[in-house]
Amino acid sequence: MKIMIIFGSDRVGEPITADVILEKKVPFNILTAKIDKKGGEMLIEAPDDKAEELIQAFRSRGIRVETRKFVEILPHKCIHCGQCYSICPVDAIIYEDDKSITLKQENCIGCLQCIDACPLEAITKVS
Amino acid sequence: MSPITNNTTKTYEEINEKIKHGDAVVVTAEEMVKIVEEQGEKKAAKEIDVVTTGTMGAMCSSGAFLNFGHSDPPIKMEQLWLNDVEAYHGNAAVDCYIGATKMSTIKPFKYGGGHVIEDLVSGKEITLRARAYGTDCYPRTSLETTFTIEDLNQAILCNPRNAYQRYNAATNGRDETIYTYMGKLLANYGNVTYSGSGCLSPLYNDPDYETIGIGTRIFLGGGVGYVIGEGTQHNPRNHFGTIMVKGDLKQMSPEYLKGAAFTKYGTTLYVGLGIPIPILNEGLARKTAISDADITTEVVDYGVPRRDRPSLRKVTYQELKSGRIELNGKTVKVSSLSSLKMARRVAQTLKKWIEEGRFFLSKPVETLPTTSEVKPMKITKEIQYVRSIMIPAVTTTTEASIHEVAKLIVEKNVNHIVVVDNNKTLKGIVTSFDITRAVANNKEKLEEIVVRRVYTAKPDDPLDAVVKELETHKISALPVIDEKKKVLGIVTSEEISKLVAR
Repeated sequence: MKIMIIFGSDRVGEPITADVILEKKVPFNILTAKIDKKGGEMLIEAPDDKAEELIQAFRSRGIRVETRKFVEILPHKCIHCGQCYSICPVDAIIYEDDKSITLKQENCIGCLQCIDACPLEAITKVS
Repeated sequence: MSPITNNTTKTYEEINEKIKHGDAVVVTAEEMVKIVEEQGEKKAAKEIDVVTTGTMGAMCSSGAFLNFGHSDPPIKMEQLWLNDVEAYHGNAAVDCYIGATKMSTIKPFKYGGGHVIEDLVSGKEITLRARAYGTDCYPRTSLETTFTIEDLNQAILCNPRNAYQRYNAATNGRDETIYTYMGKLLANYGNVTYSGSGCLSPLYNDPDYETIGIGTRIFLGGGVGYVIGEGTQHNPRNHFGTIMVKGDLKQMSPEYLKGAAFTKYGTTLYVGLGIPIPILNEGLARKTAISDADITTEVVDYGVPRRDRPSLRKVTYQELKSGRIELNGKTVKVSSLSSLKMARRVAQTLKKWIEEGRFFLSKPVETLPTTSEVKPMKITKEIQYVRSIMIPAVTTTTEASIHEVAKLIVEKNVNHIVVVDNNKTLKGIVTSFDITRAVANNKEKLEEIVVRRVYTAKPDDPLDAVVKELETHKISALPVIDEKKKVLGIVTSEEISKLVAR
């Protein structure tokens, strides 16, 4: 499961991620991280059965946690060409057997590369 | 080209008679592959009456003739815009042609002629603005009104080039993402895109055009249309055939006519098109059984800004449709630009129409040419290429000190020093400003400041492409390299300026 960790400028210096890993003894992958003096966002991939535990651990430290969608395919606009398919670096966009295009939200890392690849403006960013 | 078989087993009249009585056996081109494989072409030719095909891709050579009727007082429009997209007017007073790739003056690259056509077919209200010089018979000089497709006398989709038999697959060898009419192509051969429906391709199911020509009744944009001849750039000798088509826009559906916008390329129209192939003989049974594995095309490097782009490999539509192919020893993902799902829907819908006795086949008055060739444009004034303007590059190696590079800049009177290794392979670039800044910051070694991400040019790149690259990245020179990244020279904005001054 993909989980977004969001923290403000006041918490940038703290080793929160390491703390949570040590406390819960759950390894997780950091998929993307954008951190500067204004704060940061970090997308992590947690084992499904441990996700809830990790979310609680971050929240108990006053960190905002979101399990959110990054993009959506608008069904009334998509004509299932699949230009987005080869742009996606993580196989979040797939061709079904009937050649329909579907978005597997659980794989999406929010790189947003697919948006300007779509000629039908059928992919939108979820804000 | 396979020989045309004349062992006629059926005629158009016989097939249409069967359609009338609901007895015609109709299958899609995908279904036909299996039928012929299992039963053989002899039996299939007897049992199958019609094979339906389909495609739905971006077809830039599309547009519609519209007639608005006369205003009062009347106007002979000189320039006109539909939802701020300029339509072509070079005909009579209130006729126009709205082309798919013409872009809105207000929302360019987002909305264009293709979208106007989709909006028209959807029954939406369209704004018409026009101006004229005024004549004794047409006194009016300006006009603004709204209309829907119902208000028009004629709305005729008329596309000069549709349904390419097959098309090149595209990739990009540059070290940056490019945006093309073949879609978004990732850097360093990062993906491949292709177009066309392979075994469902209308023209590939009758590759000798035995049944396709002027007057062939087809599925066009969800309505009924006709082939009105060969398409522009029709190139039958290497299976790049095309058709010119027309149809009544008023009968069509927005499901099969979609305005589209390719980022940084422009607008176009997705057109759903299907041709029914009558199985008149065994030869046609065999030809309509063509499979994706039988149709090949080339993977072409669209990163090369020239007409004749290098091909990296041959590939079949079967491989392309699998979603992944091997390219330079790596597996890369492959996107379709045309919609296979919609292509199937076109073929299925056409099949249903024929089965229900609502669509009859027509024998062409004249079939498409099978031997014509496509010529490149004749150019009377040659343009400049990098080769003719590049100058020797002043080079150094990463071991150099800032002081040595500064001396080199002064001695050679240049602004750019290209950094190479002992084999002259490109490693980076530094400008005189980089050196000034390094001195101000007390840096001593070149390797601390060298810019390693370098934009480059090839000797055969046109100068226009270089100018665009310089502008895009706000830089003033590009090292010129060969395929192995060996530095051959440099092209600078100073040299380009001299050309203009000449």
